[in-house]
Amino acid sequence: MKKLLLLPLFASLVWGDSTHVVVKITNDIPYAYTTDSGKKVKIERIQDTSNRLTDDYTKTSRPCPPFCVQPTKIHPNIKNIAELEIIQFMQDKVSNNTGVLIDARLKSWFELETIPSAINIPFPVMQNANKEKAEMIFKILGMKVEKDGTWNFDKVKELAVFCNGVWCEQSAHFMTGMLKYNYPTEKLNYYRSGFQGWKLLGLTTIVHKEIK
Amino acid sequence: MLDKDQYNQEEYNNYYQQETQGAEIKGSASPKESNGKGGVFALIAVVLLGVGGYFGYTKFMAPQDAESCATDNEVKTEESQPIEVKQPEPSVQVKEETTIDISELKDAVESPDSTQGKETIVAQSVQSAVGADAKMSPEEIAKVVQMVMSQMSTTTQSETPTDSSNKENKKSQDNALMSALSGTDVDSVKEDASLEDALSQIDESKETTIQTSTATVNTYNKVNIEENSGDDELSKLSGQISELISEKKTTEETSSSKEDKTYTENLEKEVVTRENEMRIIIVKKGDTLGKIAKRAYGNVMEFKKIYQANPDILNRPDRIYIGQKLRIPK
Repeated sequence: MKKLLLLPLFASLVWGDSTHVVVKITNDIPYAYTTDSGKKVKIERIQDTSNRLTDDYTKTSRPCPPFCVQPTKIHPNIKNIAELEIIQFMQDKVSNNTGVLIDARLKSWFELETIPSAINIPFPVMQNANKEKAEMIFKILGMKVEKDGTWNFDKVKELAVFCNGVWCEQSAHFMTGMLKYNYPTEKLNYYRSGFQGWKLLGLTTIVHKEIK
Repeated sequence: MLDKDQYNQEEYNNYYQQETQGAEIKGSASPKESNGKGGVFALIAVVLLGVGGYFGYTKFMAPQDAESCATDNEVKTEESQPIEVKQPEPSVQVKEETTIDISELKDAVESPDSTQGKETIVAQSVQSAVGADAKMSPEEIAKVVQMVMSQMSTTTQSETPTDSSNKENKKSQDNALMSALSGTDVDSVKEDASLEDALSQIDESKETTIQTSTATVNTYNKVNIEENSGDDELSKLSGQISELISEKKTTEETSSSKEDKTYTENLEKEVVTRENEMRIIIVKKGDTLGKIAKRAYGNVMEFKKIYQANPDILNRPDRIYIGQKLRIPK
């Protein structure tokens, strides 16, 4: 009987929570969930409709070079993706460990703030990796080494790679390193808008190292 | 054929002619005459202003007429058909104080016992509103009817009960959210004990979260999580990569080209810049921009720096609120 009484209350709470979202991700998706460092994280947009970017990522102009506008495509066969595909990627691939969201920025950037569920492989690691190191990284990502020594990428994880945004070439350097050792292009996705694009939409971010 | 120079010359001649004619006309009046005309014009202007002011007062300020401009549903015929009123030959003599009440009209049109067509009813109302003695052509009546019908349809749309209730709900939710987000004035906090208690519980090391009735709103939408703190597969993978990176660091530094090193150095510099840009403080009870500047820079007068760095948060340098997060530039 008590359960029956509590049911409408619980239902109203759930209903209330979903209908209260003023700033949804899309018309059908008010928010989404993923995991980061073993914790469940709700991905939603900032609900304050008067909010503006104020702190970081409001800067328009950094010296070019090195911070130049990047071409749309890194490689003809590498798919470009955007925010919705990233969220889809988290739910379809990251959740069942068939995909990894890669933050290709330096560790210091990653620690300050990143996209939920992203792991950090700084671009110089791949850019300067020798074959031995590349093999180690690829093994972690699911590559098998056959008896004859050939690399089998059949069960390798699909990657979605991002850096700071359109003015940042860290993803390009990372991808170049991956392609040098024949990581399959169909397993690579490039989120060109990057972290600035994510921030611009007021989407949830993860802070690993807080500045006080 | 007219060449460019010839055309220019002709244009110049025409312009010159107009100018000289104008000068002649201006010059034809004697100073006395012009002064006299000026006086007459000024007198007429004063009289017109007086009359205009009187009519303006009686139309908009007089209490008996205040009702006629009270609601949005009422359409002033003069305002809704500016073309007809401004025509040089005013065939439409609109009563200045006449209004058409759209809501009444709507009721009349939608009433089940109305046997006449909607437009006929509206046309009759328009005719009675402008006055029985008004001389309106059929086209003009049609225009006014069309205008009133469109006004009715917009009011009907905007007044759908579900829409208006949704709007009210949203508005109240927004107001609740905004009032929670906008913080509280320093002075009012002293009298509000419950808020003071709530503020004393704010953990400054974490992002400020504001509890509303139905949801928790994090101003910056950032979640603090210790890296690789979990034991799921993703955390393990991340941990393995991190180990690999740390043991690899020396190798990658030696193998980097000069160009790559420069790029990496620039990135690291940018991180320092960003860290400084990201430094934020939470306003506490009794804080002023001057006090914050004193703490941050050792100089009260540096408050301008903080004020300029937070243009969207601060409207005035003497108005800051408890719980506000202010960016403190380096």
